[in-house]
Amino acid sequence: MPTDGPEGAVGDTVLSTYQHWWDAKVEAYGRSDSDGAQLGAYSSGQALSDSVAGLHQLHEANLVMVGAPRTSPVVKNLDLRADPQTAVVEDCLDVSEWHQADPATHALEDPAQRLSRYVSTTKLRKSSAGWLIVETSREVGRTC
Amino acid sequence: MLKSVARWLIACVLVLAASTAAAADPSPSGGVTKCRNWYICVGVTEPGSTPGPGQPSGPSTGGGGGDAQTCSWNGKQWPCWDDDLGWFSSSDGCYYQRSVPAPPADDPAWRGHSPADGDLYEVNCRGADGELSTKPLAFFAQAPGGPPPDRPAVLGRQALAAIKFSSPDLHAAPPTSAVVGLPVWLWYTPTPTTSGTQSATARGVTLSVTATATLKEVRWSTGDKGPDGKPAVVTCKDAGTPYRAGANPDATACSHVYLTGSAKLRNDSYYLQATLVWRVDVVRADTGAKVFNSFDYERTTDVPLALRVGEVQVLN
Repeated sequence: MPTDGPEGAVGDTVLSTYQHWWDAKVEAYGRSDSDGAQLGAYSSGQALSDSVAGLHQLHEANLVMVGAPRTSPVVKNLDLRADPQTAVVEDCLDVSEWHQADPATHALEDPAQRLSRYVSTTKLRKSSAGWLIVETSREVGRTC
Repeated sequence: MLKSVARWLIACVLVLAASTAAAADPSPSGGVTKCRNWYICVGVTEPGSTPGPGQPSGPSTGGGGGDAQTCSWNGKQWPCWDDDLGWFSSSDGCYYQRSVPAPPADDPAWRGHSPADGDLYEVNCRGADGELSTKPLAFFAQAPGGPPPDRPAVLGRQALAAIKFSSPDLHAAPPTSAVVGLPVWLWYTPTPTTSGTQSATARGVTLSVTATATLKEVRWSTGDKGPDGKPAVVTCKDAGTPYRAGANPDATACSHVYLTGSAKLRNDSYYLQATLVWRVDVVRADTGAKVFNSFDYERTTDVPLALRVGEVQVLN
C-alpha cells in the first residue's frame, strides 16, 4: 500500500481509527463501571458485538484488564473506489502485557493458558460518521 | 438436546485444536481464573456457527420496563433484556440486538436477503458455563424479542446515533504560494456538525436522554515531520480563521510553518488531514444523571487536502 499521496493520508486515517478503537477498548476493559458507548462510536456489527460481549463478560466475572496490548498495524488493503469505501488492517497484536486483574487490587488473575501474540485482521468500512471497524478475525496459529 | 450436545462436543474439539496451535503463555499468576477476554483467550468459540434458522421464540414479555423479568435457559436464570446485548432468547440462550448502522445491502452478512425484508442482528450466545460467544450477524424478518424497551442505555445509543460528526472541507493558505518558513493558515468553514456544541435527544415513553458533543480541539496532521522526526501535528482550539489576502501572516492561532518544501513528494504535495476531537456526554433529560461515561470521539476528515509548499520565497 502506498504510504504517501492521498492513499497514504487516508491510510493514516484508517490506522488512527484502528488505534482509537483499541484505546477505547483498553479504557473500557480497564474499568468495572465502563459501558460500551465509546466502542459503539468506533465500531459496528460483529466487531462491536465482540467487544461489547467481551466487556460484559469481564464485568460479570468481576475482572478488569490492566496494562495494554501493543499494536503494530499496517493497511493491507484500501478500496477507495468501493461504495462504501473499505479497508483491511493487519496487525501483529501483542497482548502479553494485557492482563485480567482484580478491579480493586489489580492483582493479576490471568487464565492458566492465554495468548501472547498473534495476527489479527480487521475490516473497516466508511460511513457518514467516518471509518467504522466492522469485523475482526484472528489467526492464532500464525506467529508474527 | 442431542443436537446441542453434539454442537457442544464439536466446540470442545475446536477449542482443543485451537489451543494446541496457539502461541500460548502460562499465566504469570498461575491461577485458575477463567479466560474472560476474547482477545487473550486460547481457543474461544470463533465466529462461524450461526444460530439455527428457526425463529428464536424470544422472551414473550413485551417492551415494558422489563427489569424484573428473567428468562430461563440451561437451568439458569438470565434477565430477559440486557442493555448491552439486547433480548435474551430462552430457546437458544442467545442475545439478539439489531445491528446499527446496518451493513450495506451487498455485504455478505445479508446472505442473499434484502434489507427491505428484515434486519441484521448481533448475536451473542451463552455457553455451558454462561460464557458468551459472539456469532456472525444473523438476518431476521421479524425482530427476535420485540422492540427495545424504554431504557436509558437504549435511548442513549439512539441519541448518540442522531448526532452527526461530519467531515469538513479543509483549507490552507496561501493556497498556491505557500513557502517554507512562513506560516500557512489552516482552517475550515464551521457548520453545526463540525464545530461548537451539538446535541440530540431520544424520547422514550416515559424517559428522554440527551447526547451532547462539544468540539474540544482540532488536530491537524500537516504531512511533514517535526523537529523530533515524528509526523508534525498542529493543535487548534476550533475551526481556525479564514485567510484574507493581505492579512498579517501571524493573525491566526491556527497555522503551521513548513521547514521543507514538497517538491520531492508524490504530486509535489503535502497531504493534510484534520482530526476533530469531540467531548461526548449522554445524560437523562429529567435528572441530568449520566447514562454513559463521558468520552472523547475523534473524527478524522474524509478527504485529505493537497498543498504545495515551495522552497524559495517569492519576492514581490
